[in-house]
Amino acid sequence: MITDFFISFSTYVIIYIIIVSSFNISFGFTGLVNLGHMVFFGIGAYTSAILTLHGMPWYFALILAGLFTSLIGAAIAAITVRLKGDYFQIVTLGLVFIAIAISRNWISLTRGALGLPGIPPIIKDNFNYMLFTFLVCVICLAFFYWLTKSETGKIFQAIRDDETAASILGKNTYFYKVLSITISTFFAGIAGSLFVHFIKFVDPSIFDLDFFVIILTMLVAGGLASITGSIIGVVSLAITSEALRFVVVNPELIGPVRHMSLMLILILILIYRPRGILGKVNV
Amino acid sequence: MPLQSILPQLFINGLIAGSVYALAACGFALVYYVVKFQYFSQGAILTIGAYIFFLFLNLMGLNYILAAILSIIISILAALTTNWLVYRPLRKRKAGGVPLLVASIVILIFSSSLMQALFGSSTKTLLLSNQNKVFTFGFLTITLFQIAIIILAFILFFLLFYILMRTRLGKAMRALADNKDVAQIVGINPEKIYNYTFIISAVLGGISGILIGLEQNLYPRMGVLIIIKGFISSVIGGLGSVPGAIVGGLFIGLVENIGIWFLPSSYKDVISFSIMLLFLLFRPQGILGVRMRDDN
Amino acid sequence: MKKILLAILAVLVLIISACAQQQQAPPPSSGQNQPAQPQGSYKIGIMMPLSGDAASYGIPVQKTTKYAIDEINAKGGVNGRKLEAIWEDSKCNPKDGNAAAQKLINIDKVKVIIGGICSGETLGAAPLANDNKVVMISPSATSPDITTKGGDFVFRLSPSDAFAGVVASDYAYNNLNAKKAGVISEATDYSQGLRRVFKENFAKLGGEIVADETYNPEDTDFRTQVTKVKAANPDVVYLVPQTKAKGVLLVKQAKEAGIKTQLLTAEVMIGRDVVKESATDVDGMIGVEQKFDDKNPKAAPILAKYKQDTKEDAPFPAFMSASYDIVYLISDAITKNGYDGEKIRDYLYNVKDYDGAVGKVTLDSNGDVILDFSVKQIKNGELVTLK
Repeated sequence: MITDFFISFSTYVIIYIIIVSSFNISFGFTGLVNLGHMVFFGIGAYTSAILTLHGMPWYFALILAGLFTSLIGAAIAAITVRLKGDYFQIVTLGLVFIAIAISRNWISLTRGALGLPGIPPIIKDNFNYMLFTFLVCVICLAFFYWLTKSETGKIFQAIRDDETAASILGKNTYFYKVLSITISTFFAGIAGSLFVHFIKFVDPSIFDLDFFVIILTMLVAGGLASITGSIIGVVSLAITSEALRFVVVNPELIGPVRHMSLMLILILILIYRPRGILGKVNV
Repeated sequence: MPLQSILPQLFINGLIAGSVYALAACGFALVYYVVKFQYFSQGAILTIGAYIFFLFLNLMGLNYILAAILSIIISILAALTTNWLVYRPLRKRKAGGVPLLVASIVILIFSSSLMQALFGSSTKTLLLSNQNKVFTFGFLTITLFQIAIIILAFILFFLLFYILMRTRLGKAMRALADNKDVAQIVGINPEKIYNYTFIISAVLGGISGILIGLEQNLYPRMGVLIIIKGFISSVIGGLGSVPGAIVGGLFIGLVENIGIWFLPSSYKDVISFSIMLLFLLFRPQGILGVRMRDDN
Repeated sequence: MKKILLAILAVLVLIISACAQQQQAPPPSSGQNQPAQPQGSYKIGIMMPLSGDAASYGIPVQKTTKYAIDEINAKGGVNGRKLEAIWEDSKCNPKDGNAAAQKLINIDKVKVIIGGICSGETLGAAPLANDNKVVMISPSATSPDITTKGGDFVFRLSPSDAFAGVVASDYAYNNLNAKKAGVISEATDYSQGLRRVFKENFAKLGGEIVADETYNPEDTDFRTQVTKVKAANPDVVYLVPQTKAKGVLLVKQAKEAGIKTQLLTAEVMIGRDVVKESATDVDGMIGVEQKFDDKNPKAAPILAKYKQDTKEDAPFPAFMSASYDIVYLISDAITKNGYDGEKIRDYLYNVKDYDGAVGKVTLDSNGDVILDFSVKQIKNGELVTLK
């Protein structure tokens, strides 16, 4: 039975690794601080949930979740990546609130706050599902490693380090920024789809800011511009937050104490490990 | 009912909401202007101010003026502590806007859990005598306290302008905001001015917390919800502009409330966020046209 | 710097443990003498929102759940073994509900879970409970989806919104003779469930919905929604907030705006603490709640004990009594059938006319409780039963 817990825990960790490392592509490698990354995770989750509930087979839903999410990501990026510095962060942070409002109010599609229950699983057996997510994750990571070493990845990093220089060298920085967001949102959508078929229920709370803060901390803790760092960040923080479940306090204070401890850890990481565990650039 | 007879009520509704947004926004904007980061933990200060006021007024039975003063003092201490423990170490290692932003969101979330641990999860009601006296003018209604909020908000805004424009401290703040290096050369100590900035924003935060608490009750996550609107107001008015934040707050309050007369009311947030996005895309300098710093 | 932070951390932990000491109820007299033996105890998983907004439900229900467990343990436990509660914070959302259930089912190996409080967390955990043959009983989840999508192992002691909405609209149309209704609801699962059912049924009866306004859970200002409803001039206004915080504000703003028509609401707004603390604001409101007699011999002592502990009136007496009953139902099931998910489930499906604090409990073939509703009105800080 304990193995069952570890299977489900590992499934979460694997899915988080996909989210965080895809986040790293836009944030860490390209320097685009996309604070709305979890919006795309949520869009992927909703897309996949709605499609499978309407009878589409899961493999189509999984791919379509990724494609549709990256389509939206590309459209938003096309409008917003020209914004500089704080503006881009603010617009993308604003996406979070817009996503919440739409998922709550587009009742005919999302059933609003009631959420979508009864989402069919991809694979019924949890162990096999974990293997499946692991496989997807390995493919994603292999792609990320290849991408970051490739010519495109080098241009991404050149844009992050000095956009003016990159454009003087004749690179179409606008195109590459949109490309970076498109790639990273595609994988966020895939992760959302994997997640929703595991939980089998989705409601607007998937866009909650608390969840985003935890994902962001995993990224920062692991280190920007390092895929290996992202993996380590996810694993170490996921273990910490699960370990907090075993801290025994007065039952009435379980909620706030766990919450506060996690937030304290996040602050300490930001102050003492600004580059994270394996980070190559400052946050 | 025809629109023209309802418009005054919508206008008043918008003005009340707008004053609350503007109160939350001006502390946020002041810190953004001087210290240059997105100070979401102003929401934490609001919550602390409101809860401490509740502690002294309802639980300890102090006089409300004394309770308000004590709660403002504690708000100031809270703001200085967060600066000293978190923001200053981050600034010292020359962290950019992102870690400071994340830290301020984390502090905001942390404070709501802390308030829950200390005061419990249930909603607390603050009430002064006569607060709910209602004035009716035909279809239009407004309470005594709402009139007070609007007036007090405008007094606070005036005081804030006065400090910024007419005092030595305000001059130093503006110098620091314009160019930190030059300000240091002329002998301004940034850390000292930052501390004053946090103090002023905490005073604003404490008072706003009390007013918002009186108007809308207390619950642990109140700061999170209010500061989001404060943030939008600040963006629309022009990030880094204190008058902009106030204008933005009033603007959003009015547009939201008049807007949902025509649209389903559940789209209230969509209205304000869409306006924010439109502003960012087409007029990023905001209503008052202040230019924002460029990170690169 | 490091030292300072560590010191702060230490102080924080101290403060919290001090609070913890303070908040601990007077220790149960006999529970102290015989230390529980974990290996010989029956584990009961309990998942509730213990942080965030919804903790205002979770914490009071947690207390009464604890009373029942302490009582049973003080009497010697079940089959001579203690009940051991394992608490998890499910935060009112499906993700944390699912994670909490994972931990309870797979690490603690519980066979029965009390919770969740919200429908979202319950639906997030339900598939897991069914797959692992673990019984889940919620004292308060009201979403109609739980009936259809909850599964074989999910029970609840709170009636579905589908019933409450029908009762409210029937009362509005037939007893209040309202032909035009306005609705103001919060964009949350519970409120939207009620709103949908109310609208459908009111229209079916022949009434007209003249205004249908919603607000988001983050909102604290509903004046324009209220203004719109007032301008539509309805005969009755149905208010459906998710929490009492929002409810009190909503009523306050509705009254300030000069809405004089009859206000109709759900159980949240006629919670006993609301009636007491905000008596003037909520006076005259009519609310629909599951039929519940807070003077019944089982419920009265629990509610009195809660008041003694917290110096507050029990905010959700029906939900709190339900959670108390759940513990006893579980302990009966374990006594008769043993500590096994399938056997506990079979026992629960046969529960008929159980005399509980919440009333006569009968569970139907969907695992839903069959309870009646009562319509009550707030008059001068007291609740008067109308129907």
